[in-house]
Amino acid sequence: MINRKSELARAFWETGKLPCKIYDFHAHMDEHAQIYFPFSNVDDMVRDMDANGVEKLFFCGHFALDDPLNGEKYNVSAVKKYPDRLRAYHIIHSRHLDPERELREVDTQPDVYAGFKILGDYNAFPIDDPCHDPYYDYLNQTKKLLLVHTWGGSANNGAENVAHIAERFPEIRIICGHSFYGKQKEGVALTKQYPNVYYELTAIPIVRGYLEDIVNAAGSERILFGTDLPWFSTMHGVGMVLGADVTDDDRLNIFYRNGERLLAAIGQQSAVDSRQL
Amino acid sequence: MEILDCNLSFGATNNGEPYKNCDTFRELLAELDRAGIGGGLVRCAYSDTVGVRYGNDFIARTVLSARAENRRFWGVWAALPPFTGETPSPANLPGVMAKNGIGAVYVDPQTHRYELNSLTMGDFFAVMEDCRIPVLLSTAHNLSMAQIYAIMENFPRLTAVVSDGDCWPNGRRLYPLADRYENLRLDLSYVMDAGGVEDMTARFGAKKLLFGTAFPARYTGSMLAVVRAAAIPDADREKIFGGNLEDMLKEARFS
Repeated sequence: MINRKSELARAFWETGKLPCKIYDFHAHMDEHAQIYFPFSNVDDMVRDMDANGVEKLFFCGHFALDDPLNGEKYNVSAVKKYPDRLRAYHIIHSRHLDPERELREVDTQPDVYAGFKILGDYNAFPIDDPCHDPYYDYLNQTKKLLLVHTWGGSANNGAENVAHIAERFPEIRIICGHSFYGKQKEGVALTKQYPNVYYELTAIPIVRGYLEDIVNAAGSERILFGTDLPWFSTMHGVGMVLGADVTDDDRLNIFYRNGERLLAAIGQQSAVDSRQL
Repeated sequence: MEILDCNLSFGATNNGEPYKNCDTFRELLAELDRAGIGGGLVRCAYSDTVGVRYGNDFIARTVLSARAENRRFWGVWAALPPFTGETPSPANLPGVMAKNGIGAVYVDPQTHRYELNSLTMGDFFAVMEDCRIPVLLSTAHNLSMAQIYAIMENFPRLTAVVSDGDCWPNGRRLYPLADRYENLRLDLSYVMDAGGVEDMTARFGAKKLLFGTAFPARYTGSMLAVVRAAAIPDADREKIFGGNLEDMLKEARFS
């Protein structure tokens, strides 16, 4: 049943399917040195999307994430295989920056890339360091997405780091992956202050009560659904949203309405003349 | 189909953990009723935060009272080395458990500050193994995976309910245990992995999998949705949701 107070939960329980679509804004792909995944290649990922009603998936594959020299091409090939279902985040490797090349790659392939992803702790490098400004300038102009791996208390990708970026680049749609896990309330304050900051739900299912706190403090319009697929099951996140003490209207916002609004707002336009890059 | 949860707890805490706690058994009942969970194995946090005897007595009274209202709960006791006489001796433990509505035990040598080895807990595990009484072995109860492996190596027929509270997918740590030990079950509370339930069912059979939520630390809805939507036969789903827990408890010998 999951939640006797929710029509959406009731419909899910009867069929095992969510009666609405899902946009997943935080995913990966392919194997990872530290983890066994029952599935992780692009075909299985899309099969899993089909099974769980995920219409679009925004991802950065592990090869791109962990091989700064050779990995990005795997993101491109995956999207090109499933162009209607997938969009990639180009990774920003803080210790291997090449803005001229990387901005060109993103700007000339709008059907592949939705924006960039940055992980401060994984690079042991603060995300708000000025060396990243060319990327943020580009995103600020194009309004493409920036997915940030956020973690509570981190000196590299904590709330203060995100605030610095949000302040200086108010047009970037910043998606806070993991919602500052561990220091969630700092994140709530951030969404109140900066209208361009969004929450993303990966890791939140393991902290009961946090989703309700975000909704109460910042509203469900600033929350995007995400799973870290293939790390975590889509249904694990779906069940959390269905079971949480929020309204069905909030749930629909989270599953797809906010994603649709965000994508409509950012469009696919380019603000960069590729000849200048 | 009645859903039974192998990983429930309640009890007021004063350290802010978990993020949203469940202070009382009444609150736990309200959540389970909302979620459609009929009962299950339940611990009292007081066994960890106040005193082992205090918490164990508390859960026994609670479960016996709930059963009087036809609720389907089995209590879980914290076990201690028998040398201080704080808990029943291993030989007497099964009988005392039965009288108190207790269906399983857990060990947490870190919280309860004892050394876990054959001297301190060997007799306890031997009796539990012989009586097929479930013992919860979890990193969430501060056991290391190395300790869990050592326990299973020494007591290979133990009816163990194993879980790894690490939030990362943990097949490399859990699968060898599930593969080797016949009476071992996996508590699914922390199995968030995409495709994890399907993969475990295919490898080990549904019989070894127990539905659990880790409430109140985690949302009950998460694992309910994972098992409800898992691409497995409905018969396996029913076993995981409750049948396996009942069967495991029926196999236990308390006298």
